Amino acid sequence: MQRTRPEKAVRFLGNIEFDYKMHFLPELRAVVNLGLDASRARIRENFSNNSLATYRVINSGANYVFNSGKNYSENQTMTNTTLDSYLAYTKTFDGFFKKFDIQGGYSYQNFKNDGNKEIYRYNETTGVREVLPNDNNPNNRYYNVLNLQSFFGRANFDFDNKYLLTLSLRADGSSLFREENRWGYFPSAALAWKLKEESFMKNVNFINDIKVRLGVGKTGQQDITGTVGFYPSTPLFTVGSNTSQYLDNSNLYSAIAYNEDLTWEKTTTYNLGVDFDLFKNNFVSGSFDIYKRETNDLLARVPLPPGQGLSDTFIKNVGSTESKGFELGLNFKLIQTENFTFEIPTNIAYTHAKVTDLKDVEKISAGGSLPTGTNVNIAEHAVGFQPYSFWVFQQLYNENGEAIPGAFVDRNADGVITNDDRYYKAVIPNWTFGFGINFTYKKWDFSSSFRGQFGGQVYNARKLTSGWANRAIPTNSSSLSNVLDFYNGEADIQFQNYNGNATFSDYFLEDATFLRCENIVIGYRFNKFYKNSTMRVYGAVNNPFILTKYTGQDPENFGAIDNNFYPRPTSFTFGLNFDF
Amino acid sequence: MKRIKLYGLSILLLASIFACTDDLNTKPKVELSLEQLLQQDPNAITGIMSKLYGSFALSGPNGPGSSDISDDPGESPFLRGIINLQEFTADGMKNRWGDNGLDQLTTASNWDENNKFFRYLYNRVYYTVPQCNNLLLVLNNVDVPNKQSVISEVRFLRSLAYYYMIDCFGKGVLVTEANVGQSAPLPEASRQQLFDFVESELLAIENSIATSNDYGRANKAVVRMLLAKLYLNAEVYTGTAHYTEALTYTKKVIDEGGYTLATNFVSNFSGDNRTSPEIIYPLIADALVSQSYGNTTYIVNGSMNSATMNTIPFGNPGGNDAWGGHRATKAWYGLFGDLNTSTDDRAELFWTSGHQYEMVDYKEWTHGYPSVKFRNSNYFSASTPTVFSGTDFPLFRLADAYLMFAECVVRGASGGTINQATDYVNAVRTRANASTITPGQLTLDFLIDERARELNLEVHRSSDLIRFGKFTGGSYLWPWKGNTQNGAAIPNTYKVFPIPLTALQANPNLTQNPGY
Repeated sequence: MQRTRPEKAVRFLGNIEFDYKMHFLPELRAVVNLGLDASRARIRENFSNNSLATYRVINSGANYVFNSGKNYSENQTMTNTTLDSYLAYTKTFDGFFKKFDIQGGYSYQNFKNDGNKEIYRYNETTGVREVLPNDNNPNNRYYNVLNLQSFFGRANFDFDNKYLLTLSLRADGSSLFREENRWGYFPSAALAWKLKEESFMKNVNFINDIKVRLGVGKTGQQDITGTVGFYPSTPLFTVGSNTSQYLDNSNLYSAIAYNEDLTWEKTTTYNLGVDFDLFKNNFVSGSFDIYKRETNDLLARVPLPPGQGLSDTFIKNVGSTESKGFELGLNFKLIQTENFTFEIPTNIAYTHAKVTDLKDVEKISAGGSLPTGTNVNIAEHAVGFQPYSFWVFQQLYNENGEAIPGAFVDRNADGVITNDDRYYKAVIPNWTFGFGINFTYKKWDFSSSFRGQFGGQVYNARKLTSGWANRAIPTNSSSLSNVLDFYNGEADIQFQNYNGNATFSDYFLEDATFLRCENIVIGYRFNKFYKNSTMRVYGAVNNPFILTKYTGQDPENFGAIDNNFYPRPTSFTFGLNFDF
Repeated sequence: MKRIKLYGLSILLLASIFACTDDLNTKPKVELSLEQLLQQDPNAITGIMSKLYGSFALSGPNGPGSSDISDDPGESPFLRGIINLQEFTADGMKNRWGDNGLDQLTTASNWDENNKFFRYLYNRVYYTVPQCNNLLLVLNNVDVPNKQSVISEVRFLRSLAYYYMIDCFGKGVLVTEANVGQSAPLPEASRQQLFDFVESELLAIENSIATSNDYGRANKAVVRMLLAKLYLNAEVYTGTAHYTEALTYTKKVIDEGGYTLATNFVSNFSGDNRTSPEIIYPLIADALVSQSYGNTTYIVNGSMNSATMNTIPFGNPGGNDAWGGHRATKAWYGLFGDLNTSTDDRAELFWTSGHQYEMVDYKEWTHGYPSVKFRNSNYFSASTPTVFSGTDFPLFRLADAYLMFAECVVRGASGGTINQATDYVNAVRTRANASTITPGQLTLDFLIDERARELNLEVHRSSDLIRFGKFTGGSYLWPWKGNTQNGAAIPNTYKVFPIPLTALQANPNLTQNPGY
């Protein structure tokens, strides 16, 4: 072993709950829940003697050195404190109005992450590994705090055990926003109708249970720490590292970008649903939901108007989106006997989203970075189109169906090909589904699950990186470059390169419809394996196959761009379960 | 008893809630607020200004792999961007990497608003400008020694950034300390408006900036030099010539700046060029403390290749640190006649061994001669090779001022004589062991060639060719102009670059330049 990188962590998890029933008013309870989750982690990376990775030449000469020992270390202390406290009042009645409960409370969450790193470099002259000096932050410390607090109230009403009404309101505060924009107010209301309880349904025998739900609610999102850190609305300076200094006898300080107007992203969801259980032996059960979702003040990192911010992009409340859809889940219990059960769970969902407003602009870059150098993005949010659509040129093909390099449809017919000829192609699929086939026969059991999508597009970026003729020419004299197989149609030899508009051609887009088998498990149970214990023997295969017309590696990709990511493995498992 | 507990609990609860809402005002411990910064470092304002100066050479606050903007830290620094736009688009230098975007620059063809190399420079300028505005606002409330001069330096840096907006893109937005914080997109500012702004800023600070300053910082001569460049190109920028004003300010630089030509040409481009008496305004590089893939490292490492060269004498370690990208063309080295017999020192700064004169294929490393004008080795002492170049970049130097003076005279400016102009040109040529010329030989055609011999790779070239009417059209061809080996005409609209798509999208008031 040439390199070791052990990570040690010690973690404390504590929780205390006070639940106090009022002596004078037994329907009233006070609950206080205090939580602490503290952990301390340590990473040490070490090289053993003569590790190849630590070989360095001394002074560009003939002598060399191996650098064994510590190469990196990091200590991190995470402290998460939570407090949840509320008063709850419950009252039951006889008659039509059956029950009433109300809760009001406050919650507090604080997430603190404090750590430091020891970073090393190799001395250019001596080849010796040494601590990378960082005078302004000698321990390479990082310190992040996120604080969230809420006040909330909630009331449930039960009318005749048939009509259930829930009302709630919460005020959420986040430390990511300035005091004046900090609090978001989120109401919700839900009504459930236990239809089966109605007298006219009592005699409908094929319906075992049915319930109708109606709801509207507003929720807030504020988690932007992954893109802009923990202090995105405060003007701050960062100190330059040892290698980023400039003027003599002076430190270097950069003003960090911030946005003082940041506030909560708000989503209002309208939902109508029905839960049901039909026919003998629960032959079919499931649920159907139809919804509409409106998001306002969407938080996204976007390019700023040039010069109007301390960097070129930053997070903003950019606009609004709207989505509609439905979800249907059906579980079929086809056979239920002592020796044989056969069950098919299924689900299908449809969703259609579009951008409805972007304030000052009609479209903004939504990322979708293509692997051609850096920062070449294809995805856009554009008003009237599905969020994260690809903005592409329409490739021209000859009569044999072969793409003509550099030729695109002049969609606005002005005689030149410019960005005005690009169109939006939705890449996120509207239809997704899943199903399983499960049965047991005597001591045998079999289960399998499948998942897939109809439609959607994927950008075959392998063609972009390795599917052009000039790519085969070595960039220097000492190595060859890998290319796709031009002879079996993986790529088209006619493309010398994909410079310019070609990068954004819909030629690279392919239908991403697929059906993936997620897993298959077969097992056999030995009942009296030893005295009263049982043993089950099973074999499982994960990700055994995928059915798709997509020609690249995998149609299911991060951001709908297939760029030779690490392939999903197919794994085989064989196992024994004992039950004593 | 229980009641007491209950009250106790409620009071505790209420108290904790009010104490806790203050926790929503989280405070960082590594990053600093302005107040903390001023408290902790008496030199804090210089430190913020150091960043503004460094914005023309560095990529970000955490070493060469970090970036202030969302663009690639290696490709997007200012100096690298302007070399790509001024040199590779022009006659003297070509790059062979074939990168999508860079290839279009090097062949002066198929320019469009999607090309990220235009965006890099645009974004860097509009990173620098608001950072300058930010410091100007800070200086409204903070006292520092020589405050007027410090404010003038910041205004100079902002003007320098805008100068490249005028020169490269021909328009932009005018963001100043007066409209900071406005979130609605600002109106477009025309080339004339930006020109007027930069002119008035430079005239306003000319008298308030220090006459001499620390190394790498702007002084009176630096301000005048930028003003002279603005006036020199005024006819291109605004349609109205200002050669007399250009001459006036060039003359002030020459007469009052206190600069002299370095004895040896190449010492201006070596690792120890900090001592050069000729450099008026450098962009600082240091192999250890000012590392960037986009300062002179881009020129030095980019021009080296162990396949045909021994890079060690030039202070480059070779191997992976020699990137094998840039070579000069005969449009540059052809100006010296036969390189073997030329006495001109500047003719020796090409690596010919293993290379062919004609650039039949610009993607072939051995086609064309690499320029070794810039190197990381010291001129006056021994030095060891380093991965990052420590050679400062001479953005303004006296020889340029001499040639500008001569050009203004030839173009009919008043305030100088043809004999004086010839003397200045001969001073530049004599220093390089080139033959002297007579006043009769001092023509515009001579000057554009002399500027190539003297100043190529110093990010003036495409502006020069545009000012001399030789950049677009077909009257002057160079290898791979218009994407053909012997050169082809390119459209007149190429005199300005396209406005990057990201800018057009983020600010709908902006419009594209004609032809893109």
